[in-house]
Formats: sequence, structure tokens, C-alpha cells
Amino acid sequence: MISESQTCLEVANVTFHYQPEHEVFSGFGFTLPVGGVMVVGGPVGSGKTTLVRLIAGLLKPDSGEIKVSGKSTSSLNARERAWMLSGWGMILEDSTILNDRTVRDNIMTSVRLSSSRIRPSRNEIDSMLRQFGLVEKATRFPEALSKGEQKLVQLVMACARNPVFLLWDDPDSALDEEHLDIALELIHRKNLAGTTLLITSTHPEKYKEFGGSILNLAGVET
Amino acid sequence: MILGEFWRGLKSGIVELLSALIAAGLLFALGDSAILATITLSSFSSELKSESVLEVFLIDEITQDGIDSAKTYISSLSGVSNMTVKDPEAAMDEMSAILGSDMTDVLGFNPLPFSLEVRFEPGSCDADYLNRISSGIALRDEVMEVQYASEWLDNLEKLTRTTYIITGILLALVIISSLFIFVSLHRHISTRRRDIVRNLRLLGIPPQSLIVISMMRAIFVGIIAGAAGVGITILLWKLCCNYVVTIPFLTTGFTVLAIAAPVLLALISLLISAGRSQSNLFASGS
Repeated sequence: MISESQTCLEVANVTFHYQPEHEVFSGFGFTLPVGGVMVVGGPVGSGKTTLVRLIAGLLKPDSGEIKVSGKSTSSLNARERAWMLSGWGMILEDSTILNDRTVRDNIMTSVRLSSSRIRPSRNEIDSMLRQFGLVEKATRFPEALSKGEQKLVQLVMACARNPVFLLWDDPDSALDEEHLDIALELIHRKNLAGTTLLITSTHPEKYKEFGGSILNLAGVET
Repeated sequence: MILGEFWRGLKSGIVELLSALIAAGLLFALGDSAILATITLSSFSSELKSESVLEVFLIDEITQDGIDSAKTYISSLSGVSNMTVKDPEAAMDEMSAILGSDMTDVLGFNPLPFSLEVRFEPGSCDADYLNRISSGIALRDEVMEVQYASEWLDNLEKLTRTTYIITGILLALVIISSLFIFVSLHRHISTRRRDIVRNLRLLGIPPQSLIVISMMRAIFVGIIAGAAGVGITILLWKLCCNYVVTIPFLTTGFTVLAIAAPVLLALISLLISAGRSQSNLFASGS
């Protein structure tokens, strides 16, 4: 089990490279307090998605540590890692949608696998889908949805499980302004309810209203 | 949750699943039929062997003490179930009944000696054993000659041994081929569901749940393939030998084994396929 701590996420002195000559991070680090917001900005290729994949455990750092609630993720066994992820909500660049089931079944699966004791009702899920105009598409399979709609389904999957930590890689990549505003309002409400947020974007200034810190991977922190 | 994922896993490669089940079912039917045929032949062979009769012809000048001595020696041999003494008159009556005329009328005397008819307990002797003990008996002073259907028994023995070898080779091929089919099926489903499993892991599915789902799939595939094998075997036997009302040795125990063995093979194949294809998501970053 993950111990309680005031720090939700700590990236400490992380070094990572894909190829010897292509070092993405060298001694990189930051901390994100519980209930806080971190917007990671930077141009294309600056390592935003790599950072998300490192935090999600899809990549392993060459050195350094990624700590969640004070515990290093590298020291977690598969069971503990699964427990940690069951409390998270992730909207990644690579789709996390389960293509073998309908939109509603995707959301129900996400909720069932959540460690949160608060489970939304079917009406609450439909209400979230309705906000994005997806309620009529709840019985469709993901392949029948557009990229943007799939992103929104991922968002509903993540929010419906009442995560303690929500990780969203590049929200503005597939969404139009209208849907993005609704989505941001939804995650803002989640943040106000206690969810820690980490968002990556090429336009971090868009997220100033969240009131968190902005970390620019080009090297400027505000 | 686990049942749902198990069912989705099966549905994700339904064509490959059905093909694998048909192929494995036919293989197991071949194996089951070979085992049943071998057991039947082996049983038939031991029944025939148990009915083997050793005819010990005693010397012409045999006395009652000599007959008793020969009887005592033969009784002490292992596997002997009973022994009858045939006097020359009884032997002549038997021969006359076969030939249709009394030989003593032609010869003027009865040339047949005293003899002992020795029978064995079922499954207690084979051609080698009969050969060995007949040689031993023939060395005794009171014995003139020992006869039994040695060539016929030798051939039966050879046929049984050859059948064992062929069945063994066939079973080895069935095991290897079914392992190949099951491993391919597991790998196919794993490959097809790689993204689903990756996403389920990201959603926090416990690793033991994934193991249970894979094991359930292997057990299901094994049971269906094994049951299909037994079903096809029954069908084949009924078609090939339509006079057979009941298939010999197709007992409940055999059926349970014929289903348990494929389940075991399916679980072994799961281990083999897991060794390569189900690399740790977090370690590999896949």
C-alpha cells in the first residue's frame, strides 16, 4: 500500500534517453503536492509525452526516482503498481480505450477497476457523456467514434472513477475549443474536489486559470 | 469482471479458437482411438495368452510316482492355475473324435502317452515365460516332450509390442502437435489483446486477475478440445464398427483422463507462450 504523504508526485533527479546521443532528461525533477496542479509545457519534442509515460510506468528512467505519495514507483511490485494505477485517471496520447467493448462498457470497466469507493451511477455517467454529446453514442464501439470523441470518452473514463491523480497528455491536441472548455471545467471541478492534476500542453498558458505551477520543459519555470 | 474479460478474450479470436478446437479435437480423437485400440488388443492378447495350454507329454514307461513328481514340479511354477492328467485312453478318445476313426483299430495298440494339460492364470504369462518354463519342464526325466502354440504366441507378442510402439509414437505426435496448436492460440489471443491488456493494466487491473483469466481460457480450451476428442472417438468407433454397441474400455475414468490430459497440455502451453509473449508491461515499456 502507498503511504500517505503531502506530496502526491515527486520526480527526483530523473535521467532518461531513448538513444545514447538523444538524452531527453538529465537530472530532471519537480514535486506536485496533493490536490495541486502542474501544467508541463514545452514545444513538440521537448519530452512532455516521455514524462507522462515515465510517470505512468510505461517507460523506466535510466536513473533517478519517481515517487508517488512518498514511495518510489520502481520499488513497487506488480500488485502495488496495479493498486496505484487503480486510483489514477489517465488520458494518454496513445488511446487507453478498450476497443472490444462499447463506450458505456469502457466507462463501466474503468469504474469497476477503480480503487475509489465513490462509484458514479449510470445516470451520472450518462450526464457526463451528455455534456460532450456522447450519450447517444454510448452503445457504439470506439472504432465508430472520431479521434476527438475517443479522447472525450477517455476523459469520462478517467473522471468517472474519481481519481486521486489525473494525468492528461496534451488535452488540446484532438479537441475543439467548445469541447475543450467543457472538459477543462470538468477536470477543474475534480481538482476542486481534491484530485491532483498533471497536464501537458504546447500551450501551457491556456491553463493559467487552474492556478497551479507551470513547468516549461524548455527550461523556464513560472 | 473476470468472467467478462475471459469471455471477451475468447470472442476476440473466435475463428482461430474454433479452428484450434477442431484441430486439437481431431488430434485427441486420434490419440484416444489409438489408446482404446491398444488397450483392446492388449486385453485380447492377454486373454488369449491366459488360455494358452501347455501340453506336457510324459515318457511311455511313466509310473504314478513319476506323474506325481511332474505334477508337483509344474504346480510349483508361478502362474499355473490348473493342471489335468490325461491318460492315453482319454487322449485317444479325443483324437478319434477329431479324426473320425479309432487309430487303435489300425495300429493295434494305443501309441499315445500320459500327458498333463497345464493352464495359466490370466495375465500371468507371456511367450517368453512359456518358452522358459517349457524348456525347464522338458529337461525333466519323466517328460518326453512339451508342446504349446509358441510361434503363434510369439507373433501375438510381437504384434502387441509393435502396437505399443506405434501408439507411443502417435501419442508423442499428438502431444507435440496439440502443444503447438495451443501455444499458437494463446500467442494469437495475447497478440490480438495486447493493447486491451495494456489498457486494462493502466486502469489498474490486478496482475493476478490477468493470470486467472489466462488460466481459465486454457482450462476451457483444454476441456472443449478433450471433450471433442472423446466425442469424435465415439463417433468414429460407431461409424467404423457399427456392430459395436458399447466401446470397450471407454469408461468414465478414461473419459475423465481424456479430458484432463488436454487441460494439462493447454496449461503447459500457456506457460510456454507466457514465457515469450507476455513480457512485463512495466519492465518492457511496451
